[in-house]
Amino acid sequence: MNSARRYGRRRSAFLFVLMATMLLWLGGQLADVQVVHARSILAGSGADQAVKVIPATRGSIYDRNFKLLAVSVRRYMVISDNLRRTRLASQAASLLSPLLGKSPAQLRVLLSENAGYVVLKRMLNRAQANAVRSEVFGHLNVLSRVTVAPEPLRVLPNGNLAAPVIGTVRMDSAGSLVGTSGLEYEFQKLLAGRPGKELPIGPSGAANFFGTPQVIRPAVPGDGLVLTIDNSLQFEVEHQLALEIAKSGAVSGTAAIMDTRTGAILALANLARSANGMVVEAPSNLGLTAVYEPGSVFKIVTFSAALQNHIITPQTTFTVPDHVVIDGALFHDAEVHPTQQMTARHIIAVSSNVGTIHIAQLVGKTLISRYINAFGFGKLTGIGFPGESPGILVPPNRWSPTAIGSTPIGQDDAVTPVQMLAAMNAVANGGVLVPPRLVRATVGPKGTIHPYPLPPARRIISASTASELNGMLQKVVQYGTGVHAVIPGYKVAGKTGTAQIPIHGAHGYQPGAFMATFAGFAPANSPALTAIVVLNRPHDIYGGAVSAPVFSNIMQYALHLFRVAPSGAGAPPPRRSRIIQAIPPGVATTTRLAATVSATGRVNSGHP
Amino acid sequence: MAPQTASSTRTRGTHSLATASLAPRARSLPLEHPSGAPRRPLRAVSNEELALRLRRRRARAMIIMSTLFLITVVTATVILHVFLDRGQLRLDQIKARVSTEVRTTRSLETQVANLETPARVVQRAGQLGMVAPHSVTYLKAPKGGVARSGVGRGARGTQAPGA
Repeated sequence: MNSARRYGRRRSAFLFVLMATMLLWLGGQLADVQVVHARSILAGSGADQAVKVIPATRGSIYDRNFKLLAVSVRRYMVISDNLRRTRLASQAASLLSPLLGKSPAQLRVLLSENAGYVVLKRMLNRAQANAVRSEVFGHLNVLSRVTVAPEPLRVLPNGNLAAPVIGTVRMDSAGSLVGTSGLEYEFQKLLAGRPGKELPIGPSGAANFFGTPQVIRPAVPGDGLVLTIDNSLQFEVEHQLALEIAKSGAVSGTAAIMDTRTGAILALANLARSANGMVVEAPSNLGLTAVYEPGSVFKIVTFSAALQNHIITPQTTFTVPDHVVIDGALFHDAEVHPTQQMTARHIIAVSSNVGTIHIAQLVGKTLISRYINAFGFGKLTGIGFPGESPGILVPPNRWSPTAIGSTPIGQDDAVTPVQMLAAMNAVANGGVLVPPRLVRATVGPKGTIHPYPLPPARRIISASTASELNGMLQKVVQYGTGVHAVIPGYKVAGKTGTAQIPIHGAHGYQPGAFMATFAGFAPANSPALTAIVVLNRPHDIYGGAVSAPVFSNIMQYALHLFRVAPSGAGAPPPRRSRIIQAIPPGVATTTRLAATVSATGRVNSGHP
Repeated sequence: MAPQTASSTRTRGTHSLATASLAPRARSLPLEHPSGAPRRPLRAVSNEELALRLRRRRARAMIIMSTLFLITVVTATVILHVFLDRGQLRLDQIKARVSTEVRTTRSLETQVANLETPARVVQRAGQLGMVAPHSVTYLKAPKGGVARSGVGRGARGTQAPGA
């Protein structure tokens, strides 16, 4: 018995020692893996295992009311690895043909390509992708080389609305969307998010316990971008501009509306005539990237300088002939008239070039140049748009002898439409220049809204000067060159511009080619909105004839949309029913209905 | 130390340590076991042997306890892993569901955005036979404010002035 006991004890002791040894060995191995060789193992882990990138979902772009302008959705593509099996191409083609909407012959060709990555079909929706997957699982012997992979698609629910502003994207080699133009490009880093990493399932992969891919680092979706653009206003502005381009035979056009106080661009339309004569979205954001000589609308700078420096008052009278010669160059008014007495107010109302040149000669080129700079011309607006042009300014020391005649009437310096809009907005805003902006806020992946910082505003003319100029610009609409900009019920101030287009790369101007502009604001007694309309080479060349009616239509819509109260008594009756006249038969009813329905059916945040 | 241990054990009244008290007991034992099996030969046990037995018993107890502890630890680890894996499975399922729901939400948002587009609203309104107003008429409130209607006053049971 004793020996049996002794044997039992020995056995227990042996087991104890064995287990202890095993535990010690395990502990040692753990320490070896986790501590001693941790770095080398970690470094080597990526070398022999292909880490798969998980594309991050690109952030959406919204309008100012959080209506989607651009969103990324998942689509699927069907890929074949032809290097794995090529014998059953015909059978595979027959099976996939009804699901992919391609003929068996087409698929047979694709399936016979000697490549390891042949895309059979792209942009399938989830149901179609599931159908293909089911077919693959059902016929693994034939379709084992066929896989379904996700791919992102950027969807613009509004079609091409504001497309030059939003921009474009492309898919990179990792399957992520990359912005290539517009705000998509400018805010690429913000919208893109951070791609994740995972180890794919497979012989060399490290699928986790449940057979799903092992996520090393989850993908972080990109932030959303909230623009200042208003969806329905943008639609109306583009529609009105398109109608006028079609009607006036213009080559292209730009129209923009800005919130007077904040500088928020509420609509920015860029349209051009295509090769087949259709009016389509312009290939680029002309409002910010294209420069033009603005013409008479630029006179607000000359008058601001003169008023601010007390060189003139609105009542100052000048003797104005219909033409003047400066250093051999002839400058004349648009209409022939006898030499007459004109007040400064009347000079700007009828857009007298000769009168303006007289005032400019009193102001002097140094002061005019200083005010051109103060109004923000020759510099980027700070809106943050890729490819924005600062404009082209001639410094005063390089002014030609005739520049004192041409620059004050807007025929020397080149500006962008948005620069011109911001300058007009400064007059509306009591002399404070507010930089324009297109981005209202960003939205984090969890929905947190971060307001985008407002750019700093600066005073460029005094409030009294702005007020005087405001009154003078009202006369432009009341009886001057801008009568077609009138809006029933509202006081409107603005300025027309009809400018010659310089010859590219040469001296002089293109004969018969003009840029027609109208820039203004309403209600003039309490400005809320500022707008500009620029038409490139319209048949009827005058800004007051082609651009002012568009201004009236879009401004009227915007005032109603943002529920801006009418100006009260004193508003003249409508001169003509431009809205109905401007719209071709069959389009008129539905177009205006868009305004009515969306104005009543939407929830506005009130004043822009 | 050993005698002290033996002594202290004795004082607790254990049955095998006091050799002095063993002799009378041995005498009283029967020569044969009741079952007929031969009795174990009796002999005097020295303190050293008792101490040795005690040490062995303690060692055995230690081994048993260690084994039990090890088994318990292993079992607990297995149970913990089972719970962890079940949790992970559930987490994976929830994640997959969240992912599906996010995709569905995004798809529905896109559908809503498509339905809300101004172009579609215009088209639909046209189909419904809606027409646009030719002009906008503004109503002007009187300077004295809007007078209350007589029906309203009557309903509240008040009398008009001078009535």
